[in-house]
Amino acid sequence: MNDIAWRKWTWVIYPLFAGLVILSSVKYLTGSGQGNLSQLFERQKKVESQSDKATRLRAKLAQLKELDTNLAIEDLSLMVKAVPPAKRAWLTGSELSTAGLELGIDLEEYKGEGGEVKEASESAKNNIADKDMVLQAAFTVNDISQLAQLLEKLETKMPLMKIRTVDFGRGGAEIKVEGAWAPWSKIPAESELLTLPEYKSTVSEMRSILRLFSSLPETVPYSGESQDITNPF
Amino acid sequence: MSTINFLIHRREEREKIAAIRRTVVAVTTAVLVAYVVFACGLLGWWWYWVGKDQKTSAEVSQLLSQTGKLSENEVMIRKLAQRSTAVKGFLTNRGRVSERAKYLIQPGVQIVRWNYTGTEKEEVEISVENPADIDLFVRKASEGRKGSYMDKIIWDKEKGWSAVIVLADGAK
Repeated sequence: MNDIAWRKWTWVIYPLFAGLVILSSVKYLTGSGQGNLSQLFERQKKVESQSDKATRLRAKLAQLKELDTNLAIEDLSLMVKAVPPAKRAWLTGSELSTAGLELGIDLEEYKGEGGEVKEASESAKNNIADKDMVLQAAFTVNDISQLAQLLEKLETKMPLMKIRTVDFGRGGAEIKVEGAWAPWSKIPAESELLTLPEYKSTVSEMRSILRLFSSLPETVPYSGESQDITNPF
Repeated sequence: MSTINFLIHRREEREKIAAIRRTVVAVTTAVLVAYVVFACGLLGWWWYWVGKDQKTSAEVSQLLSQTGKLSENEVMIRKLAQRSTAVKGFLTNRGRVSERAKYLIQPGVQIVRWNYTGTEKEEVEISVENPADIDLFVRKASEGRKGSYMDKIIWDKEKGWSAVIVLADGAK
């Protein structure tokens, strides 16, 4: 009799077993094991970020491969000549002198404010304070047209210079110029993962402008007689 | 009579239990089928992402090694970008002062003094033989410079006519 009563309820095993299977697998998925759901979501995020990284690296690799090294070296030397990585006051001084000589104008004197004139390291930003390199020059100038010619000469010299002030009168002109210079910035250590900066359009624009300017040998001493390069400050 | 009643009651009870069993089994089967479908989907999803993870990781490490081999080119590009920005910045911020000086060259006018300060204001002292040239000079030199004005006009027995003109971009 009891046996018959037990057999009557055997079908209950099926839903109970199914429930147990579902509960245990849900517990496994929400637990801390390898296959839990949160880890699966994390893996998905990781793959997405890796995919992004791969896309960036592919683009970077293409940019690196297409670089024309010879042209790049040529462009870089031209731009370093235009804006040197360190203050080169003697070079700016010689530019002032040469510009005057080319036009038959006397450079009476030039002077500048003191400051460190250290060669900047290429790999790291140096400690030189970002102070402008300003020189004040006195020329003997007859008239405004001669002055205009002189200013034009100075504006097309390399390294570049900026005319800050002009005080013309009494047979002369006092011109305050700022010589261009900019130290190298440190290249980030994790740069391999960073995208490359957009440079082509700016480089090509600067190349076409700078090629128009006259160039000056970097070893020309500021004084025509002495071969020693003397710091005028 | 009571025996018949008892048998009828038992039969009804059996039918009720059978109905409950059918319902429970059907629901369990439906839930189980849905769960199995869900579990299979989850497994497929897991398999897909694990595979993709391995593939992208391998690709990233391969790309890193390739870019690493071209690190000199990267340094060159970064230097080019830095220097071109510096050159552009320097060129952008400098005005063509020679053009301003050329603008002052006018027939019949001698520039005695010109003070360019790099600001929007410049002072020019001119000397002329004909006073009408002062007006012509002011008109031309102050073209497009709304803040310009004549500061002084002087006549001297020995030096003749001279004037001090302020050329400025803003309002007077």
